[in-house]
Amino acid sequence: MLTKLLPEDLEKVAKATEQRLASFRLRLMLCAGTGCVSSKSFDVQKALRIELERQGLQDEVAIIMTGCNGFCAKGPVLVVQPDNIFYQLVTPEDVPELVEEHFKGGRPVERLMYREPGKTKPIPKMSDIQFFKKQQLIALRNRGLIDPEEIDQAIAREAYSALDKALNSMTPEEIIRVVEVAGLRGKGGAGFTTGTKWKITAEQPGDVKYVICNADEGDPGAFMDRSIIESDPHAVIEGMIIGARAMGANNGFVYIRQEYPLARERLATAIAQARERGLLGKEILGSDFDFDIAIHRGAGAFVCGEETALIASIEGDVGEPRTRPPFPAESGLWGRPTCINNVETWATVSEIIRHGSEWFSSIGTAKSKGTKVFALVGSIGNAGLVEVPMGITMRELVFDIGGGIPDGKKFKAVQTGGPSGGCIPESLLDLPIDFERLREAGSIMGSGGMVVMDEDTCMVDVARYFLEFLREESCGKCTPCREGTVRMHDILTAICEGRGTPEDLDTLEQMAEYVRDTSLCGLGATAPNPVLSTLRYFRDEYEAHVQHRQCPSRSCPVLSPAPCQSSCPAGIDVPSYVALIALGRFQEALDLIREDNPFPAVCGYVCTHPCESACKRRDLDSSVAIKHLKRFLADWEAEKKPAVKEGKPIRSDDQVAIVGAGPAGLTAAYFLAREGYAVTVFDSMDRPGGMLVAGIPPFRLPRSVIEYEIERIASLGVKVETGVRIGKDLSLAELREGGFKAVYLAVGAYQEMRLEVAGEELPGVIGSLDFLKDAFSRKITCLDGRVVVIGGGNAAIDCARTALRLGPEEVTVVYRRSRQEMPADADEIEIAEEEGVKLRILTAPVQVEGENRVTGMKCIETELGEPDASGRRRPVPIEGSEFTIEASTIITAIGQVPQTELLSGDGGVECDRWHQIVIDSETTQTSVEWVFAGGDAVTGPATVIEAVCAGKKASKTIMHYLHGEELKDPAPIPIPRLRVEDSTAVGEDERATLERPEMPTVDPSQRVRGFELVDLGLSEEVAVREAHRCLRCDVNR
Amino acid sequence: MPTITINDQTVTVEAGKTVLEVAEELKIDIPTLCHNKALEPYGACRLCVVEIMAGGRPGLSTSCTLAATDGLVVQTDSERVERSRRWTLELLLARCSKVPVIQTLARKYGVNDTRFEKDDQDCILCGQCVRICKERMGVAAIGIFNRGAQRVVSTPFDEFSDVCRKCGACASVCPTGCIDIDRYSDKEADVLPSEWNEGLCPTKPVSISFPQAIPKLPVIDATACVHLNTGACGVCADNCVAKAIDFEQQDEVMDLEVGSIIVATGFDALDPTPMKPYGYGKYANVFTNLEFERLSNATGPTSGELLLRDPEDRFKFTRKPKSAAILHCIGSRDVNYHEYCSRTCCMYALKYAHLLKDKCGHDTEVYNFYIDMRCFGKGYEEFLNRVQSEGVRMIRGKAALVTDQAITPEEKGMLVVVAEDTLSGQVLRVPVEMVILCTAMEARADASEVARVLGISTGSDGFFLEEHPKLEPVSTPTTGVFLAGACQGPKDIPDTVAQAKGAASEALALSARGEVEVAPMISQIDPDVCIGCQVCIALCPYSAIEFDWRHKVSVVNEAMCKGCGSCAAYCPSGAASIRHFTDKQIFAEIEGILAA
Repeated sequence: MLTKLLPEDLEKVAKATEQRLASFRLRLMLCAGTGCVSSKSFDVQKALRIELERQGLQDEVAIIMTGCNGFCAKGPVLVVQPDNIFYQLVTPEDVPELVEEHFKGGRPVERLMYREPGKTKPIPKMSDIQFFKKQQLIALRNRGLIDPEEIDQAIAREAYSALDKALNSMTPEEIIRVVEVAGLRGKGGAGFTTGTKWKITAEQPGDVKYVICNADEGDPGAFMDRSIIESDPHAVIEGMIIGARAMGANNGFVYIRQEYPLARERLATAIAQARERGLLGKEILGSDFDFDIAIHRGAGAFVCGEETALIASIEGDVGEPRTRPPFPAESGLWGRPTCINNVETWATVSEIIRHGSEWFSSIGTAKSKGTKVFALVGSIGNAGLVEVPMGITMRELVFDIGGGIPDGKKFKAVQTGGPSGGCIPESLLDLPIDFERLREAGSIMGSGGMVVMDEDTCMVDVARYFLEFLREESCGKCTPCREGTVRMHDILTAICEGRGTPEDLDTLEQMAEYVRDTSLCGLGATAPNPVLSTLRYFRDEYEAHVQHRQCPSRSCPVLSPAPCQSSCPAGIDVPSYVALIALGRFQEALDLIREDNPFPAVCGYVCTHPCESACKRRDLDSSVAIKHLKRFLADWEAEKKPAVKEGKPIRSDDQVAIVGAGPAGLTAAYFLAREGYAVTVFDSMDRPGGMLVAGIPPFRLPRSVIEYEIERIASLGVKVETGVRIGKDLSLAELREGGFKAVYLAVGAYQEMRLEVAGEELPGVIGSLDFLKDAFSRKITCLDGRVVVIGGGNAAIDCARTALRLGPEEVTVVYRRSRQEMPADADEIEIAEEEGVKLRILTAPVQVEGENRVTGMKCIETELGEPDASGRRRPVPIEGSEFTIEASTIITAIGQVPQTELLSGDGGVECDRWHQIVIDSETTQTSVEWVFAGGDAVTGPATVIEAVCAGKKASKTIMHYLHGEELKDPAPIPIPRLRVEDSTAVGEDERATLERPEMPTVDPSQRVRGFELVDLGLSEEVAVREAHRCLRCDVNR
Repeated sequence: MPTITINDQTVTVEAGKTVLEVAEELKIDIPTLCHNKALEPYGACRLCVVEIMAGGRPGLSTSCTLAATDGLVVQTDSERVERSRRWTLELLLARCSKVPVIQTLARKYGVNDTRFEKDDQDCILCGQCVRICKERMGVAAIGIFNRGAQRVVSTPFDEFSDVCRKCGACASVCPTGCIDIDRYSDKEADVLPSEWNEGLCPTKPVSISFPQAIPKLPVIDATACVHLNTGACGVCADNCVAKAIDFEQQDEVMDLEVGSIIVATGFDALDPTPMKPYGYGKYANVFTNLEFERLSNATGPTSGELLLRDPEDRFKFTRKPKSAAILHCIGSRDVNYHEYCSRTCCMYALKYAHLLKDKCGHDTEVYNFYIDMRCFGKGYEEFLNRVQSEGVRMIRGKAALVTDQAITPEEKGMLVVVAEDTLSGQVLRVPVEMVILCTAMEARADASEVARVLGISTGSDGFFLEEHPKLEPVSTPTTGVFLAGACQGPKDIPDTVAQAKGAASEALALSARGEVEVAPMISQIDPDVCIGCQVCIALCPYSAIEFDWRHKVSVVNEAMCKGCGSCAAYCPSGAASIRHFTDKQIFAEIEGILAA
């Protein structure tokens, strides 16, 4: 039976409890927070108890059900004391092994230990885990260390010793002074100075005052208050008693939401135990101070977290805010002075009293003292609850503690402060977190929710989501909040569905400011934050939605009915052709691709397949092998050689000249010829194909494939004239005179960029394109010594792989940033390495060494600094780290620029300083009305599929131009052209288990001996099965 | 006393006032939709925002909740304020696109249209209805339910409220007029029918009785006032700028010393409800003459339009009638009610017929059912001829029955007047849409009570009796009490005016002379003989005898005594006698006559 305690008893109870616990050899701290409970930690407890009893260990090993441990994503969590061994994701089935091996045998079970994301080495001790390492626990000081339902364990951890100090050796004024000097600020979100609030309340006249603990935590993804109450309710109770003593209140309320049954139950138990122990009620701890706490359950209205609404709710009224002043400190509950603080604030109070204000104010930043509990959720490796000192950077929080973004995805933003907070972009990752900085960044601290979002998240959709929440949770009392959130949500929905206009963005911005300025309470005043902050940092995403009707993250279902299709620059109807493959209708599939792309075969071999990155199947296991499927179609066609479908008859009065027979030019020619225009393609080289033949090695793309597709295009009536250089052999004006009504310039980018280092002119230094040309044409047949390739793009990798086939000692690719930043395809790099190419990253060339011929390359090591304009981190040379790589051949592959001098002269087209042709991005029109341009000549080196996109777009505007129509075409939302029925050949359950096939390849050692094709292609059977892996988001989304 | 600055005007104000109140005093216009003087500040519509420039947290704040504290500087029309107001109005306009109040207010602030999709709601959620119900009526029958966009005003669980007393306070404060109290309670509303408008329309517990009322002041109907009955409400007192509302006021008895009294208590209109055959009270479109008068009056419930009443809702008038019957002599010239002729009916009936033709169109069928036409006044006969020439049907024969029981298709949905045409001897059934009953004028119900107080008498018809029908038509037996108007008998307006003028001149004659001439033959009571039994006082028909409590004897008021001799004949002690007609003299006279 518990008895009423006097001050001197506290220590006795603490000692006795400590002794009792110390009598156990092991203490199993099993998490019984809501997260772990729902992951069945009570089942684990039961299994443990049975197993321990079976083994006769019940007197040596204690099971202690603790509150939330914080690492909720890994629950149920079991920490074995005193060794601090951390086990995660424990199931009842694991129990016998644990007991046998560890608790009995003393051999911790590695299988259940935590591993860093992407690493395999287990980390046995909890304190060594990154997630816990950087945390500093004040409010959560007892989490995972006590059984919250046993008051003596709390007392053993110093609970109520601060109360003793406050009651028996401090005056109320002194208590307030300590809290004030400590600089404690309200952790519910607004950050009002707690000491000041207490002082105002204390100074109010009248005998009846109240203290309230706000535990109406309603932010989606935030659960710190719940966790504190669940793990250490006495911290809150003690803080409240101290506060009540300081302000002269005799009654307290905890306003806790109905949705927190476990927390409420534990709190009720704790209050009852405190009352029995004489820590609540009359004459607390033998002093003359009376105080008691009642629990009030909230009905789950978000707005009741607002203090005036909360008071109204306790009073039995509708939970709606009222205008302040008067502030609750002046006139609160039933018109009496009332002090409302958040759970976390109350839980911090006793630590300040115990350790003093100086200790507390030494933690944190200049204006924000102490620590803050954050709930890290969303797209993050280590989701859970953390308490960190104020001033920690977002980067530390997300990447060090949070373990970064899972699945190798890119970080996009952190949404802080709950629904009415804002989104912090990548550029502000190094922002130290405190009240002021977050506000300056357009967000708020809020209660401490941190939702991490990756590249797949559409920021417009995020704003829409939060507005939807706020629209539902606005109490509706005042006009701006009620009507404004609805209208803002309407606009955001319209934008997400492709119905938005550029004016909508202005309307949104103005309305957001209005709602912020005019609303009655904090909910309305902060409701526009999601909109304003996303508009501020992600305006480009909004613009993509309203101007191009595109969702860059492919997450808005209307704009991106099939993510693969919408991520394809040419908008190929991927889902439909994959479905057709599944049905075995290969010819239809090819015809469908050719509606958008004349190069299905080329793309099947070399496309960079952005579609696969967007593939939703990737979230399940791995993306559908879309590129390989296309390659399969190409192979199938090459075997069948079906007849070419005729286009429309050619009308010779609409003549179009196309300059450059690369993928962009040929695509434009293809689409124009299909519509019956007379097209002539001029190219300066001796064969058509452009970069396809000049830049892509035949072991990746056989020449027969290119020839076949160009033949098909020519068969539509397209004339190809090779060996003609426009600007030199024929001028633009002469083309015009020759009857061409429009010209499309797709001259590519062939001018190698220079390294700008000394010795670049030495023999043995060769540009990537020259090298490839010589290699493909067998002008170079073998290489001696060592080869260094400089650059990190696909061209560099192609050069390296080509060079490797010419028999040198070694091929090394030198790149100045890290592997992550390399623009080349990750799988291409992998294949190159597989073949034997060496990679030297974070290395920059300084000088080419040698006298008559290259002998080496002097390099310097670099490290990554701040991000530059491209968003990639800038390489910074490390002084004194120079070294030399031996080399007999150096291939430069750092990029190409267009050669447009001959076109840009008098009367020619306008070019920028990188010699790229300037066009109107919406119409592809150049500065000369009848001349259009696209491809690498406009964008600089890009991919085949982007060139196809450019050619396709140009063909449309040229047709509009020839008809004298408006050139601008609203960008269409790429929606599937067909609605292909689902194949029933493979059952649904089986589909889920299908695995992505590996592309069969020639053995690496065989490959490097010649220029033979490496990828062998999928068989029909494999391809059809693979097509069944498609989740058909085009119809199911 | 705090000093604040509004729009560069610096004023010292009473402590505890809000900025909105101060602005109102300064005649600075601040729009608001949720503010009501009778209610606690609410701050919900956000239209009344002002910008705090100094002396408070800078930014926008609602003036209805902003206390006018010392040193406060606000601007009520800054660019920021205007922008915010325009936004609020645009959002409200989008919500309530068809509500005139919002449209007008929006236009006033330059918001002519909204860029948002228009909704067609009528409630702006200002909460005035809910607040008045709770704060002032103490009932809280209605409340606000749901959150955000789903927020609505309703009763708990959308069911009829048990506590609503249908006082209509909610509807009266609603700025958009969207409250339908029938949604809140299925009780019959405690409607107060307008006495002035013959119950044709409702009125409020506090109202100015009628447009020409003197003094033209509102009065509170104590039987209907929520405050006087429950102690709640009292909203009128809060809204009265002059603080003129006094709930403590009681009826007062006043003693006036006057020389003469003119009785002009008028008449009662006969209530035709008990006369079942005419269907009054049963059929919505059977009206009495006075009701018809109110209908045709420009200040009446229909603003002078002659309209049919909706049978479903007695306060709703729908359309003009296509036919009407005017029934003469209802209760007059009828042995069952009053044998006398009410004198006015024939002429006003003709006027009604003319009005119906005039206001409802000349194709309106109007029938007059009469016993005989008594158009005796000057120009009256000519009027009868004119009305007849307008096409009014005159049917000689008193109507016997008004019914809705149709026997032919034409009668369906009509009121059928059944009467015998005494000229042709046929029984007629005339279907009409409206029936007007020309009810009798009868003496006021309390006429005999008044007569007793004033010492005058009533005739067998109940009207006050004049002293002499030919010689003293305005006087009464009680000197100084005169009669004017219909209290003496049915009269039309010219007759009433003539008589009233006569009564006035009688009264004036008395006061102009300054003294009263009395007849010499009046009673006298010998104080030495009177035993103080007071029997004479009760007997005196003219209230001319009073009791002298000091001397304990009866005393004759000589100005009032008419010398009737009742007292003298009865006096047990023989103290009372008539001058010049003493017992001795009478007996002497008798003897003389007998001797002759």
